Amino acid sequence: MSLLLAGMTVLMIGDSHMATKGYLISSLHDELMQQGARVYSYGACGTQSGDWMRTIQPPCGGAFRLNDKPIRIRAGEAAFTTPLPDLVREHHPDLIVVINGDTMAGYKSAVLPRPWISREISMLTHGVKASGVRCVWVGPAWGNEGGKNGKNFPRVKEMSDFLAENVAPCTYINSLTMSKPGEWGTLPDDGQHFTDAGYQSWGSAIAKQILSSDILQKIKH
Amino acid sequence: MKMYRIVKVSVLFAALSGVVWAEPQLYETGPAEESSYVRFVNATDKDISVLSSTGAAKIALNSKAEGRVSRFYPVKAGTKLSATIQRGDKKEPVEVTGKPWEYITIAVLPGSGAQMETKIVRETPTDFNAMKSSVALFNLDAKCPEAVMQGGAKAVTILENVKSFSVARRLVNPVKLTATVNCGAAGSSIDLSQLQAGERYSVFMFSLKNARRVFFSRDVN
Repeated sequence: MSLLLAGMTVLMIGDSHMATKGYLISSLHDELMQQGARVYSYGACGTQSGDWMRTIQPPCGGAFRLNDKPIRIRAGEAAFTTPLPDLVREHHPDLIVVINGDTMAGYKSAVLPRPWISREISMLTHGVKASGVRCVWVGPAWGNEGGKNGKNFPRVKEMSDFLAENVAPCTYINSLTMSKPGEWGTLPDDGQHFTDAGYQSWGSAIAKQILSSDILQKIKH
Repeated sequence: MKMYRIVKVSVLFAALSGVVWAEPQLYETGPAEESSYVRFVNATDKDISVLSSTGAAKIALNSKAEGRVSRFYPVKAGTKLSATIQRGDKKEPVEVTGKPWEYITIAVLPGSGAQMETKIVRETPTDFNAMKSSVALFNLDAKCPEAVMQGGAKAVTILENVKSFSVARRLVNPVKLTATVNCGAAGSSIDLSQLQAGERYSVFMFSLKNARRVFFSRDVN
């Protein structure tokens, strides 16, 4: 139990890393609850940052988890994103956690699509700013090179560096400092999505960073 | 025995379904297609119009500072864009093809007599930053081989060695900025007011009837 997190309400939104049981919607959600926070998690597979300011049907399903309730998986047409302002109105969070990066990195493209990413990010950060809620933004982890998503270490680093300079007013949480490249196991022929053990490690490391971040000191509740 | 086989097969199917559920479907990382961005600048003393090749779209640019520049229009990278510039009864065709994530500025300048001419200035910026402001100097003056921009109380050099029909850009702190654009000994002052973090600005220098003009605009995508 953390004195800083106890009694706090945390809203988490993210991409595929938050959309399947056993991923961060399990491990990070559990970790934050164990520290005494009320946690509301929403994941939508394949979403870009701007998708969290509108209602869209994600290309590969979604999931949500309301504090201590079970994870609810939504596939096909049943899956949709709820815009951030609506989620804030519903849950009144003290802290927003964004988990997004891999879906915008263009791993198979020759160049990082900076203008497009900047636009996607700013759509969401404008929403965060308007909400007045403190925010942390979790960037991509190393994963493994190759696989169907084309993940590769130089581009992950480039994407993480780009996010660090562009997610303000959110505080950036750099996942690349949490492990060595390839250290956490990924699913076969994937490279991007981790095994349950990998998501446990990532979830623990993110929770540790949130707890040590000075952002919690700034939240009045 | 037959019933046993059916049960085994259904158990196996359920188990396989579980594996499929645990693995997200494939999705593209990055945008659906690569874009470039095109805008038009009126550096003449008359109103102009830009007509699309089909004539369906029209952009009107006047000769006052705030109306001289269009927004950046996204176009598919690698696809030729054709347009016609119209000033009074004079028409000037223009064609341009953008590279992925390239920003293209098409400047319309006075030609000889009543004619117009167009110059294309290209940049592929990498300086996106939500905590800083990006300021560019576009030298659209054929008679100015090297332009310099200085700013602040101490006249610090912000950008230098900007050749004719080229651009230089850099990040600055989001401060209240008054700048001077110099070409040789001659300088023109410009007040950019309070710069906003995360925003991008362009300062344009050109000549009209042997008088140097300077104006600025906020870049809009």
